[in-house]
Amino acid sequence: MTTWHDVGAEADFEDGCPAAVEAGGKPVAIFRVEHELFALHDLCTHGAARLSDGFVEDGCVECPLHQGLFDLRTGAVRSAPLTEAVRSYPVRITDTGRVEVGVT
Amino acid sequence: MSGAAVTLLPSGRQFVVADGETVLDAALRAGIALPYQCRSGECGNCRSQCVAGQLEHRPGSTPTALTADDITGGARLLCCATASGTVTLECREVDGIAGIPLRRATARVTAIERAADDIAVLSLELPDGQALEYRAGQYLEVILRDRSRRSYSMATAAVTGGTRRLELHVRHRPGGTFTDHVFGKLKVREMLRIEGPFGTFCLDDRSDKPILLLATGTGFAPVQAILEEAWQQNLQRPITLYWGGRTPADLYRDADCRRWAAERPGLRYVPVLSGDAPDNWDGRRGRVQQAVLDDHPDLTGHEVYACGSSAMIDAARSTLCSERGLPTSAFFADAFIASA
Ligand SMILES: Cc1cc2nc3c(=O)[nH]c(=O)nc-3n(C[C@H](O)[C@H](O)[C@H](O)COP(=O)(O)OP(=O)(O)OC[C@H]3O[C@@H](n4cnc5c(N)ncnc54)[C@H](O)[C@@H]3O)c2cc1C
Ligand code: FES
Ligand code: FES
Repeated sequence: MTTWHDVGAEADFEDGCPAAVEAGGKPVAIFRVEHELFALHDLCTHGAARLSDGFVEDGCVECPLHQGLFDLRTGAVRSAPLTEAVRSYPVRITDTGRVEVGVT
Repeated sequence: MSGAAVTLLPSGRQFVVADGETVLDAALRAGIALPYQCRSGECGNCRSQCVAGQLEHRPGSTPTALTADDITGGARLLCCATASGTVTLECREVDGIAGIPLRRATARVTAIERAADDIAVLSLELPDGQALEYRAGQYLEVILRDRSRRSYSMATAAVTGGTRRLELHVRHRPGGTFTDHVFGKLKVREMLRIEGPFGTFCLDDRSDKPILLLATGTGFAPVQAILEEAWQQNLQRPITLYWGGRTPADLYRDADCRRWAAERPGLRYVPVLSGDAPDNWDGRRGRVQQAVLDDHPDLTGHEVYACGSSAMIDAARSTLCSERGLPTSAFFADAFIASA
């Protein structure tokens, strides 16, 4: 079962400015690309780096430590040195403009 | 034969230059810390003297920091030069830079201060656990989305072991890709991709000569870092800072400089305005290099560090060396290419 956790107002999340939040006790990185929001587990699968410190480009986030790329939508690996996908979470925006992340 | 074997004097260090590669790139690849800054023939930092063999500026390069006489005399700019066969050359090597790791990182914008209409002071922070080591006077490159790069000098000194917080001074060049972004859409919390440090515009640690710092515009950024580093190290050499701009707003940290000069016995500050100065202006008028010429009949015992527009650097280099006896080896420059 998915529980939805409030992580902030929609306006808190801007293009080019990944944000670190917490949802259900898990560290989550939120990314905005134009009108869409994405949520990934906020820890690289390759080393001790937070994806909320990464650079967003072409639908991917670039890890700040070794520049590995993860797909924002799915968490799939898009480049070396990564080998393991990162968990992605569903995101929704409520009628009142709040952002919620779903954690199972 | 492909490639060239180069021997550096006075150190005797040797390295190989591949076909088509510049001598500077080959030396840096071999881990030899040669002085350089602009990598495009403007600043003159990579000047060397050819002692034996074939060392030529490659076709299409623009070694503007040398005169025709310099070149006839055997001087070459290593960022423009290729080598063939066996070459011996004389070139200064830089202390205290070899061994600083080049690093790629993301940096978050934590503050954007408008120090003047066309000057933004950016505060950046690297992620937790990451740090950048550098010497004052070095610069970093911001990597843009199209993979092109723009250089900005660190404006504060690093702390030992590396620094997470960086300061950059950016002048707006209308029509410029990156600076239009900085003055338009850039937000606090945005991420930039950076790589650094680069360059060798750093105080020569082996010298105890009095120091003249010359800056125009945001050429003040590395100069501020150099001052901070000198204070950190409790440097005893007298320092005079000449900072030039057109209008008072161009000297965007004028008040700080005046305060430092009042507080620090070793520091003198000379602000210089070339354009409209207010009636009550108590600084100098004209060009920075002219102010230096006026103040110093003899510069044989000084070191000059000049940073800013290439016009100022070229003028300062030629007049201070030819008219005041400043040794060319005591003139260090950091050219921002497009006029700073
Ligand atoms: C070692 C070094 C250190 C530097 N440090 C600093 C610093 O601390 N602070 C600072 O503000 N700057 C610094 N610079 C300059 C900086 O790197 C950029 O060049 C500058 O900020 C312009 O970047 P931009 O992307 O806005 O402009 P660009 O897009 O690169 O264009 C620059 C300007 O030139 C014009 N232009 C572009 N192409 C052409 C062309 N072909 N012909 C004519 N005009 C053209 C543009 O319209 C614009 O006005 C430094 C440069 C170097 C080499
Ligand atoms: S830690 Fe993320 S790519 Fe290495
Ligand atoms: S690095 Fe060669 S002239 Fe500047």
